[in-house]
Amino acid sequence: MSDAAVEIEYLRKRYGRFEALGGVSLTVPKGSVFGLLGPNGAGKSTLVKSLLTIIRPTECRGTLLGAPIGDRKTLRRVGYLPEQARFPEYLTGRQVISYSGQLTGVSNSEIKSRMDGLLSLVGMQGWADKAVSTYSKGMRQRIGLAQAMINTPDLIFLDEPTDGVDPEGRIDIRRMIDTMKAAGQTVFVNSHLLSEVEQVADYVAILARGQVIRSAPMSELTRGGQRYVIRSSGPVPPFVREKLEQNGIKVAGDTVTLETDNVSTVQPVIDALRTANVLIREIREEKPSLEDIFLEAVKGQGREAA
Amino acid sequence: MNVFLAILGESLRLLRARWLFWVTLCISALVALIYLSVGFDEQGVTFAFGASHIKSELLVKGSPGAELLYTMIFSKYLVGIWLTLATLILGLISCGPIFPEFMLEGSAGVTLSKPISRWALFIYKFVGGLLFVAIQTLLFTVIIFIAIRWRIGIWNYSVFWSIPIVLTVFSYLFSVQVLIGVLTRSVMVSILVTILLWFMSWIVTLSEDTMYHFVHDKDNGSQLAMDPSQENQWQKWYQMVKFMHMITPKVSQTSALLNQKVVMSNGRNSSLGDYIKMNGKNSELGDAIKEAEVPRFSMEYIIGTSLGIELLILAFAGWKFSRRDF
Repeated sequence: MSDAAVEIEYLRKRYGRFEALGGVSLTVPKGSVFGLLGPNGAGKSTLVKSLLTIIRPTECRGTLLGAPIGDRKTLRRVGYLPEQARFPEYLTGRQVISYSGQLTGVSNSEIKSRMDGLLSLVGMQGWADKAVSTYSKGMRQRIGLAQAMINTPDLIFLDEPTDGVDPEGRIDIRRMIDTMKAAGQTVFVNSHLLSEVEQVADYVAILARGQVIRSAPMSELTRGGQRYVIRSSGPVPPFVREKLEQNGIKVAGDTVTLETDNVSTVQPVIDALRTANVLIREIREEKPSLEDIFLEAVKGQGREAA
Repeated sequence: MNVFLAILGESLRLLRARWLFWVTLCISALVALIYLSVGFDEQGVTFAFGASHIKSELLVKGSPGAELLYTMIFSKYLVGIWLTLATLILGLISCGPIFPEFMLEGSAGVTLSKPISRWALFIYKFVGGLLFVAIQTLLFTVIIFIAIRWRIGIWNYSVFWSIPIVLTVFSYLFSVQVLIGVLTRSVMVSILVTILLWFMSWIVTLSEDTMYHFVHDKDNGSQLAMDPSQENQWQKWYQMVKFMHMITPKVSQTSALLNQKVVMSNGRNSSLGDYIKMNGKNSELGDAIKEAEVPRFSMEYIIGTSLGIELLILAFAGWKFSRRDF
């Protein structure tokens, strides 16, 4: 039994001469929150839609929950919130969820028993019996999330889930993702909002121009490039500065920067500064943000239109 | 089965949400009520539930003339004008958005990511679209059925033929609308092209009928004097039009089948020729009209060839739908 919820060996999608996905290879571990990042037009939605048979890939090898990608029966165990989800305006939120459940093969009694819990989870109890046409963008996303969860999927795809949602709604969606993860579900989040993904994802892949250019656990991605920054009250005296620079430490005005993830190497620097009666204002540990990693990764790849 | 019922239920909700559906339903009910308001008494015909009155010995209550007239008003005029013209146009307008709206960005994704094949989804949505006309026709026919019982005194079950026949006619047109909708994703284009095809079908049927009589009715003097080469040329033209006729959905001819199917208590269908003959004033004209009313093509041919074309159109539309990226 594979430990991967999604295992793409090779995925290619061409539209005429344009190659939207050029031989993508990707693994999404079971029970993880996986963030797929990329600028607009990178092919993120195309990738998800290919996995869900909404788009017919030009070439595709791989598995989804252990079955070949494209196997319809497997989709019973999958949930999906599309980007800019559009539900029939004449349906109520409750009917949208119910309809989604029926299409997934969930029995009416199960739908009924899960309905209130889901509505409560997405904070839509008070609006469930109102027509979708009266909903705000955030409400539509909440109902979209609920319909994606009605079949208690093993794997759930969220395509730009926080797009157009207010800050409170974003926090709620992050909480929901945490809840799903705690329940053992695999969550695949597609987003161009790096800070959003940074807060929830265990694994991250960066997609640019139809190619995966980085893919690693979040902790591994942010480990490289760690540094410590010491700031003094006033410029570092020249004789201390000279000594530090001889040891390969960067000094600029009142800032001393050590490119290391080993905190013990910082101690002698503090000692040297204190011995020279330099007052230390601040010591901080800096890790590269996902934004730094993303920008670094897409550098040289060319930027797609934002 | 659950999935089919879910999609059918959703289609029903869509129709209920459209004001045109309710407007059509109200007009259908009104037209049927107007029909119901026509009655017969010992002196002749009454209108508006007896408010107005026309004396006629031929149309007194319980007479064959009254039954003939009442049945004929339904099968020829109400069906011909309301059910197979106005209702169908309103049906096309109401059902036009079903596929184009479904195929919008963000709309199709949720459904297509479910464990249902695209072909099944396509067929279920097509059947869902037919509900519009099915509901309208059902309501209309039930009122007509009750009206005939009330006014003529018989339970005329043959009026229920109007439901499958009108539904079949609508399915010809709706299949074209679905194909255009799938190809263009445009509601307006799909409605306009369908109405255009409907018009073309009428032209082809009329042309075939006219040319048939022109070429074949040598004995009654309707054929113009032609030399053999001209006649040969006309035959070729006719064969071409006949082929066109064969591959065109026969909208008006299928609707006209209702004249054969709706019968009176004596088992005969309601004929305008019979009515004229019954008046006893112009027996020859009555016979001529009766003869003209006899269709040249069998029901099997009319419906079979039309459904065959519909099936091809649907197969192509379904194939495009199943291969499309959303």
